[in-house]
Amino acid sequence: MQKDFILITLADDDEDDRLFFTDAFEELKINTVVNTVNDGVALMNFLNAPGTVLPNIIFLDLNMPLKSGIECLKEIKANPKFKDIVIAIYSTSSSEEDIENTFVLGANIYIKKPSHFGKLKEVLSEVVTLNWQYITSGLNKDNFLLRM
Amino acid sequence: MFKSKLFDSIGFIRSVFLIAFFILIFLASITYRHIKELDKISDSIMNTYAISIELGQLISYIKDAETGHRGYVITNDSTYLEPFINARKNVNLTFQSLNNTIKSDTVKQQQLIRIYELVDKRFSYFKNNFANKDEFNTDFKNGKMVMDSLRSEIEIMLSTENKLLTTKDKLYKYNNSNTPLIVFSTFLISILILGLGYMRIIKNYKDLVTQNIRLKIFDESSKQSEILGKYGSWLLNIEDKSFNFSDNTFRLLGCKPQSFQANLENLLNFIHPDDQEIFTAAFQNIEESAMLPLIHYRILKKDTLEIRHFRTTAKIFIDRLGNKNMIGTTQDITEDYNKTQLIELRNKELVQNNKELMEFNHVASHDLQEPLRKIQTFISRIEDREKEQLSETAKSYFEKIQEASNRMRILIDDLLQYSRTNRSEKRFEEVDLNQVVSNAISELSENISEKKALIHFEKLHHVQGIQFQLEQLFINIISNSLKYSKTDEAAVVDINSKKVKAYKVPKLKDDSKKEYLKITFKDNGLGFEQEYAEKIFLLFNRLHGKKEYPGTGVGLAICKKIVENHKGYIFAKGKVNEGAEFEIYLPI
Repeated sequence: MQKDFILITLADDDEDDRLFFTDAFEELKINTVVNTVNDGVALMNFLNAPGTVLPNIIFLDLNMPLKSGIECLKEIKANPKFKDIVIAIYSTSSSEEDIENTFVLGANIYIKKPSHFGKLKEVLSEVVTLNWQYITSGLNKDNFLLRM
Repeated sequence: MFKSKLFDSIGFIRSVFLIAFFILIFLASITYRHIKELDKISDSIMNTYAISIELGQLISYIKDAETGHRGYVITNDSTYLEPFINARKNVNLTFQSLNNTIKSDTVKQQQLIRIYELVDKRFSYFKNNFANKDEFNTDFKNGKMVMDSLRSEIEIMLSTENKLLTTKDKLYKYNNSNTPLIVFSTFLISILILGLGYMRIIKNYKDLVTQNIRLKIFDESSKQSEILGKYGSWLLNIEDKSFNFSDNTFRLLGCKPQSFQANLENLLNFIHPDDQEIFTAAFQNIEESAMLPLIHYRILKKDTLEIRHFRTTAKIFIDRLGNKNMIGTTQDITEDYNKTQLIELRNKELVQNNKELMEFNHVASHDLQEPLRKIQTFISRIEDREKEQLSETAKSYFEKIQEASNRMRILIDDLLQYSRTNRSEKRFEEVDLNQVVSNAISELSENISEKKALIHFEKLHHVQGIQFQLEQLFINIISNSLKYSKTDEAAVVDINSKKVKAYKVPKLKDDSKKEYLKITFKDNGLGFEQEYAEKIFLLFNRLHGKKEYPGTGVGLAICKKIVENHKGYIFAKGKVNEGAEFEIYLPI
């Protein structure tokens, strides 16, 4: 049964953003299971907990208390257990610095949080339905930042 | 250079005088020898004359004796015998003196002995009593014969003496005929050499005088520059550790020139207690290291009692006489020190300011955007779901909220872009402007097709610059033209580039031959009043109402910033309803 669902985890400290995120997936009607964690520490605890079914895609906010998105990204990439998880950076900022850093650290895609709910749905559906195996092999900096 | 010349000269003069000295010694010895020879010759001439005279005398005494003898024989008067008796005595005396004169010459002595024998023989014929007339006749005859041979003997001796005299004279003449010439010419040469030496000395003296004047001038100017430059020079004799301070060194310490004994102990009294160690340590190893390391220290100025910062450095200098001295310079660097302190402070402030600016950037890029994004997302949710249920008034208010939030979004984005233009890395590379225009056109493609605009450009140049900034520049200018295009006419933008020399473009205010690339954007849009040509580049400055032409007034300000980043110039020309023209000058 699990094979039919795409497992998605969002790590974001902002309550409103988590709400938009879950609402968007509810409206999208794609077979996804979305769970959210409130910060970086919670994310790593969740991933490292025994018995956790690892998500297919993690949406990672950068600016979080306790443990930032960058730190989470480093930890995830350092652990071979998590090598199959697609990491989508999900941030308000689109500064060159952040894009550069996360790309170098091995994130798969960079999404700037849209300011329109409709746009958000479009972006999320695009990311989820991407053929990641294909994308990962042809990863380059030009298409790292998702432009819609 | 002057020194070595002078020293060469001294060597020259020394050798000149040495040569002259030896020539004079040579001259003196030649003269001495010459005089000695003359003396010898005259001695021997005198000798010869003495011999001749004595011989003549001898003959005359014998003649006297003969005459006396004859008188006595004829008259038998004994008075006639007197000369005869005297003659015998005189002859003996003459022989004695002759013998003395020629005692070194054996040949002459033999001659003399022969003459003596003859004289003796002659006297043997002087008899007072003759036995008969025959005896008398024989004696008389024999006496005459002896007398004749005596005469010839004396004649021979005299002629030998004369011959000797002539040969001696010849020899002397031969030996000394060149002497006057040699003496005279060597004398002339030595006069010449001495003259040369004299001239050289005079020249050196004149040089010394000029050099002295120059040194005086130099000394005076270095005194002045010491005062102006706030430095003092000093000399340290390594052997006896005595110092010699320039006047200004004293002044720097707040003392009257040469007002105290310059030595290390007295100097130490001026130095800040915390810095005395550095100071003495530096002077300890000067002999081994041949120099004084650059030291910084503080002193207490005696007259004003203020703390001044000093800097000292020195070097060992060995002069031609082998004296080891250390030549040093001490400078009052208080002003520089204070300025550096101030600059460091300002730098710290700048770093702080920059940090704050970066933080502000972050706030603007992240924290300000976040609530706005949420507002907009919520607006979009209401719009999708609830808008229809709103009253007409609420709907219009809602639309105004939407507009305002959109404007805020644009404003934040533009501001971010403006600040990013400011701080982004300035790595210059060769940029193909054709590529830049193509990228700008593709970026603006939607806008261009909407306005049915035509962008003309042909064979633009390459320029050194920052690619993405130049693209932003082109995008902003082209989109400005599109925005203010006429509604009844298709927008046309012409882009050209041309190389120009700075001095040919007066408005650049640069008279150099520096080359610039002039890029022109000309459109057929609404244009503007020329009086606003400079204002349009100011941040947040707008010529139109928000309603007709929405915008933040940041776009052209960004353009100006980018051009300034490239050390270039941007100018605008406008005519209402005819179009606008932007000129950009970028250095090549």
